[in-house]
Amino acid sequence: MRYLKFSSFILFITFFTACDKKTGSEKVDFDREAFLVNIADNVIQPSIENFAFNAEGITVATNSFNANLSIESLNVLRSELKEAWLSYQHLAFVHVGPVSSVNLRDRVNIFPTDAALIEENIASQNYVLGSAANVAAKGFPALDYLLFGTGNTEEEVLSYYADPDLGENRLQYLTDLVTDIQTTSNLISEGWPDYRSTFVGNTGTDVGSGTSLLVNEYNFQFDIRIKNAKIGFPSGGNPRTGGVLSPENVEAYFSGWSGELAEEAVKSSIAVFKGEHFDASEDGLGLDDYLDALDARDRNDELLSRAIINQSTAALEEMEKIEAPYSEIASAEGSQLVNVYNALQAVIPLIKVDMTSALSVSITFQDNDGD
Amino acid sequence: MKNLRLLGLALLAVFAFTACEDENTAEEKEETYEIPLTYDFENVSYTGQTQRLDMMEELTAYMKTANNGAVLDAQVMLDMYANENNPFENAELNAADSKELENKTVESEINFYQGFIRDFAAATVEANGGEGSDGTAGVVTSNDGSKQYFFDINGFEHIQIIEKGLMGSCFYFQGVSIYLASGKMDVDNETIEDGKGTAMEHHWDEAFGYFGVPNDFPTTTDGARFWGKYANGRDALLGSNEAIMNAFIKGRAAISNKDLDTRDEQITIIRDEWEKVSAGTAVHYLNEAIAGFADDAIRNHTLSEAWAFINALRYNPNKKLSNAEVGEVLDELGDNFYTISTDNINAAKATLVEAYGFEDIQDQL
Repeated sequence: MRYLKFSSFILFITFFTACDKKTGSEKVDFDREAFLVNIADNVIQPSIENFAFNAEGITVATNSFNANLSIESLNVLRSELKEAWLSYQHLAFVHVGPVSSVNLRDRVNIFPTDAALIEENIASQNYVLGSAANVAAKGFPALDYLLFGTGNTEEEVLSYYADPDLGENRLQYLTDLVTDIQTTSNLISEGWPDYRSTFVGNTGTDVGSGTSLLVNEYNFQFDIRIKNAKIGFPSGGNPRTGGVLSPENVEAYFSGWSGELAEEAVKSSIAVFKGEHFDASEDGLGLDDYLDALDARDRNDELLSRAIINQSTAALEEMEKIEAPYSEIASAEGSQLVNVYNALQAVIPLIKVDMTSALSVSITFQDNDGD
Repeated sequence: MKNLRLLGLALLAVFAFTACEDENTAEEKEETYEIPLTYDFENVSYTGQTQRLDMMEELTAYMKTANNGAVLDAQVMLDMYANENNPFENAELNAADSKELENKTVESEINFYQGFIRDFAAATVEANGGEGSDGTAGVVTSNDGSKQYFFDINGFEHIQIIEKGLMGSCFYFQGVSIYLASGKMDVDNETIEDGKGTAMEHHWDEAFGYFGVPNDFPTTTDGARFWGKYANGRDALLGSNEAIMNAFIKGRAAISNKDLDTRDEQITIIRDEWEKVSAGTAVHYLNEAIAGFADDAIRNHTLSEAWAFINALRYNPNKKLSNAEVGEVLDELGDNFYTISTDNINAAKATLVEAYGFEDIQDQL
């Protein structure tokens, strides 16, 4: 009897450990709906709330600054900007539904900002912030310029707004930018409840499904917005630059927050991948669990989820070695930023080829400039 | 108990042999798919690349009229560079309006080429067919009277800097730095588009297109253009024809068979070999410059070629010299080819020979 049991146990093992690489996702025991619900309710929803809370914070601080130009009110406004900008880094990964339809990324975080265009708008008082011509003259990077780039000291920045001729226009522009962020945040908060059921209800993996959108946006944010824009272009690490450095292209050039923002973005990437609840109290169903259910492996036959987390963490560790703002670091050839770029680059095949292939999701965005 | 153990071992053995073959190495995998002898696959397309080579050919043909004293129009050249205002004789190129040399040039060098094109046209106007010399732009004839080239006031040949320069800053850059890099390689390899294959396959084909060879190269060398022609020119010493071609073929087969480790090995081979072609060609022209040192036309012409092939070395992700080191080699060549010394040329050559391990062939190249 024991004899039989043991052999059937072995047979059982043999059967279930045999190659299942070709297993179609539909056969896999993974509750995609529960996964989407976790992402919707514990990742996206609280990220939206947090962003809204911070947008409100900037609005209030801007009003106080308007009412009373002082070093104190300037500093409150600056720190509110930083909080909001940090909270944005989390939402940037989940660019679905209303976040995507208001085009959050292009609306609030196009950098480098165009200081000359901002000044031109202020002088002419003739601008439509929503127009395509002004994408580089609004959002967080424009506020970065207005609150840090308009003077070398706090006093100089204050006197920029106290200017007898242009002061009023400048304050107005500042207010308009903040209003635009607030409006964007409102649209997202209001749109999310309606969209949620669509997101969690579309449980397939075809184009337009919740999983497909999430995976695409995840890749876009990681590859294009973090790896290329925050690191690769300013440091010359991206091949397209031909190795030419452009320190002025970093995120948050004037405040020097580039490093903190980029680290926050990578931390968010890991959290979203794991399906961690926004307040990090719990690790819910994420892409990692989904990949594990498929027994997805990387090219070294390690669990793909592990490889993605390890490699992303390695990139984060490279970033944490950097103390100074990226604009200063970028100015040296062979800089640490290139190491960061390479470390981030090592994540890309894992998430853009191996993960999409395992999940049977097509990448629909094009990092393409034609044939 | 003993029986039980034996049975267990036997079953384990069976288990071991029926388990997944994930751990196969790349070498073992190779045998599971066919690698053709030529670049002959289903769904191959690189017309955009061929069109750009065609554009460069027309631009070069136009520029070369300056060697016979023609005055050039900057706008015509700028239009050919950017494919605007239907500048080409080949109507197909005019029609392919999204294809241009300009927007595929290393971004930070586009201004340089536009400026150099303008300078070229202005110099031909100024010279108006006249003779060139140190400080004067114009046509210079070789001592034996067989060759003539148009040089700027410092002996730089605009045509070579533009044509060979763009071979580096456009074709080579796109080939090794863009199409064989993450942005174009870490992409979808599942969905097949008719005539183009998967995105990954297509990008691989496009890299191949920039190499400019027939699909049965090097069996057939006729029709090799630009880089293909130069690879062939130095092939006897570098042996890069077959190395590059085999890597392109093997990599394409690997992609179609989801064997990305083999793909990556081929990328390394292509980058290294293509770089060797550029460095070897540069050394070749430096040798020619030394041989023809006393002949203004020959020396300036070959140094201009060398300059462009050295500059190209920046655009390889696995480059052997850093950008700063490439800059130092170019600095050795200075900014006036009429006053350069053989010491300068030899110093530039020595750096390249050492970096690329050309010691044994340095004087034969």
